Amino acid sequence: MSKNQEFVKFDKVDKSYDGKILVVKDLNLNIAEGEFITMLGPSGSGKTTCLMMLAGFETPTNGEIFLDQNPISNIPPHKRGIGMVFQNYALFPHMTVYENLAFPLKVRKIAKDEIDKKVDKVLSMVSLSGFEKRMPGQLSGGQQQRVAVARALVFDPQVVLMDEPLGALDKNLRESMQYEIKHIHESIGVTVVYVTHDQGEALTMSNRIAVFNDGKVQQLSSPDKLYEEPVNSFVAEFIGENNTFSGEVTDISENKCKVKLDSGVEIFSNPIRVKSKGERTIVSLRPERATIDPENKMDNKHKGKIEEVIYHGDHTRVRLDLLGNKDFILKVPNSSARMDIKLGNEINVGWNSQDARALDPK
Amino acid sequence: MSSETQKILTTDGIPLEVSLKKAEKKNKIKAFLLVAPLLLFIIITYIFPIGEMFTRSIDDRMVTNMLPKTFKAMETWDGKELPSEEVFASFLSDFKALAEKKEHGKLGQRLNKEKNGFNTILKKLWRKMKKFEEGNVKEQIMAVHKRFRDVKYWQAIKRTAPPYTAGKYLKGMDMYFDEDGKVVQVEEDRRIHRILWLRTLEVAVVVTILCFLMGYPIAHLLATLPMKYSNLLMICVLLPFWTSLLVRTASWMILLQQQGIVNDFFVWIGLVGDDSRPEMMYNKTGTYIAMTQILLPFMVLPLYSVMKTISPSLMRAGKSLGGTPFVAFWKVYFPLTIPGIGAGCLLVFILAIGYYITPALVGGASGHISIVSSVAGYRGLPAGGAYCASKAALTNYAESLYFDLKRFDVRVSVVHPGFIKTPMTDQNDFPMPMIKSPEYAANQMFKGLTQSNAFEIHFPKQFTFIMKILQIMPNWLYLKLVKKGMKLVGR
Repeated sequence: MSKNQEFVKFDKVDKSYDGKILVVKDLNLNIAEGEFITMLGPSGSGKTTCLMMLAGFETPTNGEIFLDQNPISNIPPHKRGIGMVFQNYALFPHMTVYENLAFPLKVRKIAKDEIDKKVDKVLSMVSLSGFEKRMPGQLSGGQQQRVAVARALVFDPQVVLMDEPLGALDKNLRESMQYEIKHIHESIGVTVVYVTHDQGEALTMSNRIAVFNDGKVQQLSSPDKLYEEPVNSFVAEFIGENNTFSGEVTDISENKCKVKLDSGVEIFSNPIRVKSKGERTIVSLRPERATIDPENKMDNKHKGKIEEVIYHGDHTRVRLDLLGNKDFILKVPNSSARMDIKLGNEINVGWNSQDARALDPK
Repeated sequence: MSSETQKILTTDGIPLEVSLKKAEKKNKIKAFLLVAPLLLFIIITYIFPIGEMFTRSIDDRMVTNMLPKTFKAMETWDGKELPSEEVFASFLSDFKALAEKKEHGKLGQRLNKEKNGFNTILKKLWRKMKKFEEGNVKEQIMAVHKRFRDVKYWQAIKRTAPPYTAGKYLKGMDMYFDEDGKVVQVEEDRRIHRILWLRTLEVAVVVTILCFLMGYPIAHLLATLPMKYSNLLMICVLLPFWTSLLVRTASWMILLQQQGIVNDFFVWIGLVGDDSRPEMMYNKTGTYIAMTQILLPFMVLPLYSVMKTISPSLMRAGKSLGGTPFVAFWKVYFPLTIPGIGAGCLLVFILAIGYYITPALVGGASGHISIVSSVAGYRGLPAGGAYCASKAALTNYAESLYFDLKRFDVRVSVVHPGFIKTPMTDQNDFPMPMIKSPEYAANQMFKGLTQSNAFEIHFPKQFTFIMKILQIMPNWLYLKLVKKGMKLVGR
């Protein structure tokens, strides 16, 4: 069974609300059948607009959206057959759980016993069997969320859209719901387009993540690649924690370059977005890639002064003053061996030039 | 015993409930004091008067208080045959007591409502009872009038015994208790109350429906538009509140009258011909239009407040789940607005039911114009040129108005008094036959205005009768007679 790689396709889509500012600029995005793709970005980056265009509540100003090769810009929302989970659940407060779930089936004129069967099935999928007669107001936030997911799935849509569905839940519930949604996706293989501004959520759940900023997709790749190999400084800073040095390229070869920092020290890094000598750059380094008391083979070794120590249970976060960067963060796993991590001590820090990515200067 | 020991105590050993009450007492007193002024105000100006009105509406103790002994004696009477001597004696004693206080007339009027003909026989009894001899009262009373021998009249008295009656409410529904105590309807041509009820209800229902049909889309727009537009719209909706009732109603009159702006516009766009301008005022159309405008905000505001709380994502959810826009509206949005619809309709309906002023002015004029003229207007009298002429003018004017205003249901009457003792007639140096006091004149006018539907109200009748004969006399006879009359009084 070959999966359609262009099941949902945004083709050169632009969107403007006022005719002056483009909220979405030249969006080209292919979503494969059965994929769980997340649109991640800060608020106002255009991700929700993209979702609304796909759902049919907004029309693209330019370009076309294809669903299974058919252009859908002129199809009204109720004929698109796309399930949607809304930010605030949007359960119908005057209907019971059963009536909420039966609504999409009833408007499709499905027989009563068939409806009962489908509602039963989807309720057991979100482990809410026996809640049919409850009103949404009598359910907890997590239960309402599950009903909303169930309602978006009950009519077997081709695509399910989720617009920050977990935003209103507390942290523990949010995490368990993340797994639940992921498992549901895996078990029924529906295509999911998920919008969130929570990177943790995006990294946990998605097959691929599209990072939005300023109306454009900054990077589209799998969670691990996105974290390990950000292609520009926005993505590097937006996803996970990041130590940055800004400076100028003084020497460059195939996979190594020398960057002279503003403090005058030169470091070795991995040229990703720099091509030639003299270019300004921002070097990005993940905190867990730097180590204390480096081995000899590491090509960057520097001394830093401990400015702050924060205890985090399983690890300790150490803020260093290193090479002119006063916010250099180190994550040190907690073990009794490291007794020298004290405020004011000087320690040696090192990292491989391969992990220090020289990106665009913004 | 066990429940005593189970009570939870505070650390000081006081039962928890007692301690809690003590702690909350202060707050309760504070809360009560805050409410107290309003409570007092409502009790004095609302609950007390309304309670009083309700008691009065069913209060029927008048006869009970007037005939205490009679009712006491009637307690043992079975109500089928004529009552015993004792009842007659008590009745006579009660009646004599009333006659001393000069209240026997009131009793007659009240009992007459219960049974026609009571007033007459009581008057007769009053006249005859002075000659009554001791003892055997029953025979003597029955001798006064044959109706006293009719058991129905005594039953009528007994019927008034209960201190409360639903009679006044029945009257409001054009019904009354007949002589047998059954509820019956009044004759068809006198059933005015029920028509009024129905007309009021009809107007209220139609206005409520109109307000709902117009208010619902407006409220929806208000709730969904961006703030800057919705504020402007809200101001427009509330506009009727800004103008005074009088100005507003007057402007509707200017707009809606037959030569008014709306009719001009209809003629201009060719909707109606110039000679067939529709009447939009002084009828139900005018009532509906004006009342709908005034009551619309009362529909829009509750609807708006409810619609504002309905998340727009609910409609979107309805559509994304496959409902057409209509289904999404009907199954999702509409049911959620029902509380607002209920509140709005109730508000408009209640206000419309009690809304008399606007219909009175715009919808169907009705009223009464009375012009005070004089018998001097009948014919030209000597030494009264200006006076007679102006009075004759008034009389004729009233006659013309009578015809013109009849179709608007406005009654026109004219008052023709004879000589009344006033500072003006004090100056007359000729004899004034049958001159009457101003109190007499006021009484006659009041009677004529309220108790009859006559065009002409004239008094004193003996005098006006002569004047009317003079009026229909041929001129030669009239002039001759007046000349002779003048000679008689020496002029």
